[in-house]
Amino acid sequence: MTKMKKYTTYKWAFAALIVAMAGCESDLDVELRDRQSEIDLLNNPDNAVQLVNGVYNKNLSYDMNAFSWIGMTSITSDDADKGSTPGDSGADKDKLDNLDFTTSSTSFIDVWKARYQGIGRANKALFYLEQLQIDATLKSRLIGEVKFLRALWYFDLVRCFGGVPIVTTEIDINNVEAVNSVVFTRKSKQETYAQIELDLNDAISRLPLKSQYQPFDKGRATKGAAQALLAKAYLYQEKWQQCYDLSGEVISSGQYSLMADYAQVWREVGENGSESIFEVQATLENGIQDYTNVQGPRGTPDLGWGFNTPSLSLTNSYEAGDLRKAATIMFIPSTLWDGFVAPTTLNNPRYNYKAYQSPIAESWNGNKGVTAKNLRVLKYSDLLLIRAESAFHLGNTGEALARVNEIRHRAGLGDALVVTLQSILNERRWEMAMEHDRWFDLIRTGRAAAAMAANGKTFLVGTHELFPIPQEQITASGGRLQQNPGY
Amino acid sequence: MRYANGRFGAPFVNTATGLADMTGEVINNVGNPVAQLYNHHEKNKDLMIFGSLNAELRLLKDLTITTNFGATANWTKGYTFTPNRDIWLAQNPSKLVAEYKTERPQDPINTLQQRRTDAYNWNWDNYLTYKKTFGEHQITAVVGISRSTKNNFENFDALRYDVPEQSNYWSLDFSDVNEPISPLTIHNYHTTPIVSLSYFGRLEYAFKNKYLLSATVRREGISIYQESQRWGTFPAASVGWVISNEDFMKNVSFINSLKLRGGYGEVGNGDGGSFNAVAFSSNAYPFGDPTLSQPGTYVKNAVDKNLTWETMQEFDFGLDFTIINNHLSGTFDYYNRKSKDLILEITPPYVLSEEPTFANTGAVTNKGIEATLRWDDTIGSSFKYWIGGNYSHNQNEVSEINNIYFSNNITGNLGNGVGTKMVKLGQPLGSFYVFEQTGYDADGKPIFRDLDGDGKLTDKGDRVNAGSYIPKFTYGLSIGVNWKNVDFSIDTYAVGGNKVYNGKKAQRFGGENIEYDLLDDFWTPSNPNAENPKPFNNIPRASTYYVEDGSYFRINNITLGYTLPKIIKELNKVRFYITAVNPFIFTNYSGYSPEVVGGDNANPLGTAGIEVDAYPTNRTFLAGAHISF
Repeated sequence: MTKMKKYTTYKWAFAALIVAMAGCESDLDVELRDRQSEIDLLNNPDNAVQLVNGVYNKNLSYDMNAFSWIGMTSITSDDADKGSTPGDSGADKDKLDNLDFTTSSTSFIDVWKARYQGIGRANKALFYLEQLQIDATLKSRLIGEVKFLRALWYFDLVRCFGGVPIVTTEIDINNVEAVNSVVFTRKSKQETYAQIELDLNDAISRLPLKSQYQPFDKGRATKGAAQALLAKAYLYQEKWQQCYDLSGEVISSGQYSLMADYAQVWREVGENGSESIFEVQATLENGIQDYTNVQGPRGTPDLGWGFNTPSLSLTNSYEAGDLRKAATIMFIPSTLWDGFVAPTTLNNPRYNYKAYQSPIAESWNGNKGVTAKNLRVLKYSDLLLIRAESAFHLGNTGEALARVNEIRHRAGLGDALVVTLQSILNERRWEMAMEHDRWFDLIRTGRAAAAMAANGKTFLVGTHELFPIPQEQITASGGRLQQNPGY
Repeated sequence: MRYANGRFGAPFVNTATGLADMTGEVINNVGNPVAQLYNHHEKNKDLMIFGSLNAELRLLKDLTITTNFGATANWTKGYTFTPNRDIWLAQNPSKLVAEYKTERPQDPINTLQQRRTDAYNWNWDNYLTYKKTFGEHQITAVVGISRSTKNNFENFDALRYDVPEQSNYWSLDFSDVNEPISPLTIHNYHTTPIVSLSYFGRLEYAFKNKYLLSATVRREGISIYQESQRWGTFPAASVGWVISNEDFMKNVSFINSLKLRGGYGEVGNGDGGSFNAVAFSSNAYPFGDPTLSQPGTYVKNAVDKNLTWETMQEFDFGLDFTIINNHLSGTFDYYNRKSKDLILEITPPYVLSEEPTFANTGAVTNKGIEATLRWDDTIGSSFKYWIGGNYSHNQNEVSEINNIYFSNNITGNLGNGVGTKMVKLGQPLGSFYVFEQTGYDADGKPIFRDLDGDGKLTDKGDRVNAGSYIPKFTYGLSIGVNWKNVDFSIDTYAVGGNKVYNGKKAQRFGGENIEYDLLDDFWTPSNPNAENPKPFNNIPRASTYYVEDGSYFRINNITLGYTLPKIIKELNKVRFYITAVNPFIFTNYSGYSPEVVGGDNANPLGTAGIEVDAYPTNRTFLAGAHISF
């Protein structure tokens, strides 16, 4: 070949090479780098546990259990006032305190949103758990844990809003028909409770007892937790016999007992103790965003936002000698249990002692926003009172009296000689004070109007038994979600 | 201010004396900004190298092959040193140094964070060009492939406690002796690169330099979408007629050039995150005794598996001319643009998707005209001047809605749960739909019109159209003068027909700074018709009170320059100039700046047109020299 022809051949070869290299359609199959792909997830059985841990994680978020939840379940009730300074509305906490909230109050949005996001995680976890190849016992337990969490969130939703949309499977966002009929349609209160019962009964059959868990799994949902939650759901539905039987099972399981010192139940030493049925776990690295901060003393020194202060009504309601009063209410000024001197330069006269995380004696790294305080969701004392109440409604006053006295002894009080529904509800108020149950207890027992009137607030019968569905959700549903009566 | 003991002033007041006092009570939510600056030590270094390589090879007489490779590589490093104890002392000026250990036993004395990032993005084009003239016909044809990688970025940072104080903190090494007390927080994050590939061809034909034709087609693929949705084909064609080159125009001397043009084209926009498939992110939850964090997994957002290219279809018709001895030149365009399969972030129900996700939501049409005009002239021998102006009128309209989440949801969220925008067919995208404020009640609280008369204020029934942040028309004026070696120019820009939502007027907490206008005129029982309502502390409704006219006239820049006479042969040109950038803006808008692009890449359903965290536009003065050899 001549030099010229060689040159020409090289030219064409070079040109062809460039053209060939530049276009490789397989280059468009880029590997995911910042997250895990679906295939990777399904390939590794370890991911099953991680998927379920991810569902638990939702309980740590701000809109699930912090300011908005505290506002809706506690500030509304006669056990607590708004707190903080008079001019600080906390966005809508002043309206929650005065019971003149509107459909666009942000607390309702947060509580609705967080729980549905949690339910979404639970649905996805169940979807993938089905496909993962793992040990059958482990898979069953994990499904039980997820169903417990899902039932817990539906329970919160039905207590707040009444019947709600029930979504239990994955739905393609483009499937307009399914979205409209399932996600944008409210079910009735009965149907919602039926779903809760379905999930909890399944969880009960799958979950181990509290003592059967390995130490590194402490904090996961247990059979006792599912039973206790179901007993509580029966209580709210006034299914007294089922409630009585199931709470009896938890008692006779021997897995739980009252702690000797009531004050220690909410302190770090009492975390996951004998009285604990289910807690949202928290550590310094992964704690509930702002749960303690919202309720921490406000002023100088700055320990928190100062909301959800125990009311005078609660303070004055205790019997003389009741140890629970000093354990529930942090009086200002005073010296706290860890030695800290709470001075007069703090804004409010009382704060929620149960939400106090001690920077001196407990885990603390200087971050007020995320602390190691666990949220006690279900306690043995709660279950004893559930047993007492259902026993009373069935005419078994002996059992009711026995349980009430168990509680009273621990509180440093003498035996009660008789028990009435009101005395059981009073014990419930003192035992569970500031623990996110009071508002719901008042409503389910029909005592809300009277109690709120005594507290200087107007409870609108026929309206305030349910919170309004967030206006933005109704709009997002294209008007399909029906608002609660009176709003 | 500093107290006698050398500590910075904090927002305390002594309630007895009413004066600032370091042992007083907190009055204010705003700290001491000087203390914050003093206690903030941060340095960042950034190195960016970009370059390109270009080679052309002639294969045949009329056929060349060109290859073009370009890349940008970027490395940054930075550190932030936080003196935690000093900051605590600045906030509590009456405390002793030793008290820090007793009151905050678990807090570090200081914290050091080291950051490193690197990014590498590149593109490579290869194309063949064929150029040939046959008599009066001229043809150019190009065919080629283009490939690019972008969004290729990695970040690495680590944290240490209680490092010895230094004058610079570029290394974490000297602190590895304190492992037991240090949290060992390490973050590493790598984005998913976006790869795009396109095949393209273009044909240009000119006959007698009078009749022009151009046609192109692009077949584009991008890695973001799922496999069957990756590719799109985008053709375009245009014709032109250079009327001034026609024989019959030879005698029309006052027209120097006149060209008529028209065309239709499609352009693809491959938007939508970096990877449109189900993906799992990590979180953590603690279990166990002792309690330890365990890893968890969750899905951040649902995915629309049908997500594909957005296509902009444009029809354009225009005129270019220069007349009167090239003194007056101008252009005129009519356009009709439809963005089809518009990609926007939509919010599905929370139970299906925790975060928003991308979808092809519908279509938006922009129709309008654009006109520019410019007069160039010379007075005498050395005084040149020009005056230019432009005007455009645009009508933006949502023409199709294909996604229920696009039409249902209220968007334009202010970050406090309040939304300000809705999407309606026939209205501009990102229109404000808010409640209409009609006055104040007996207590100074605003009252709103119940449009549908049902006794309740609902989104569906009572929100009214309050305009859009998209301007209806824009115009500009510019003037330039060249006299001997001095040049001077002014450039301006103005918009009209747009509204801005002044979110800053809302929500007064105790202790922050308040705007003078609010203090001057707010509701009191003796001033019931005030401009502003009684000071309040809760989250207000989105209402017409916050929507203001956003039109403005801005002087973009004023430049004065001087070119040195040519002294040295090697120096081609030396010019000194001073420029004022954004020196003046004339507007009736009462906030900081009527130009609010908004976050999230100017997302029209986001905070575009909403002023919430605002910063006034900077006025800049530049001085420079331009030297060419």
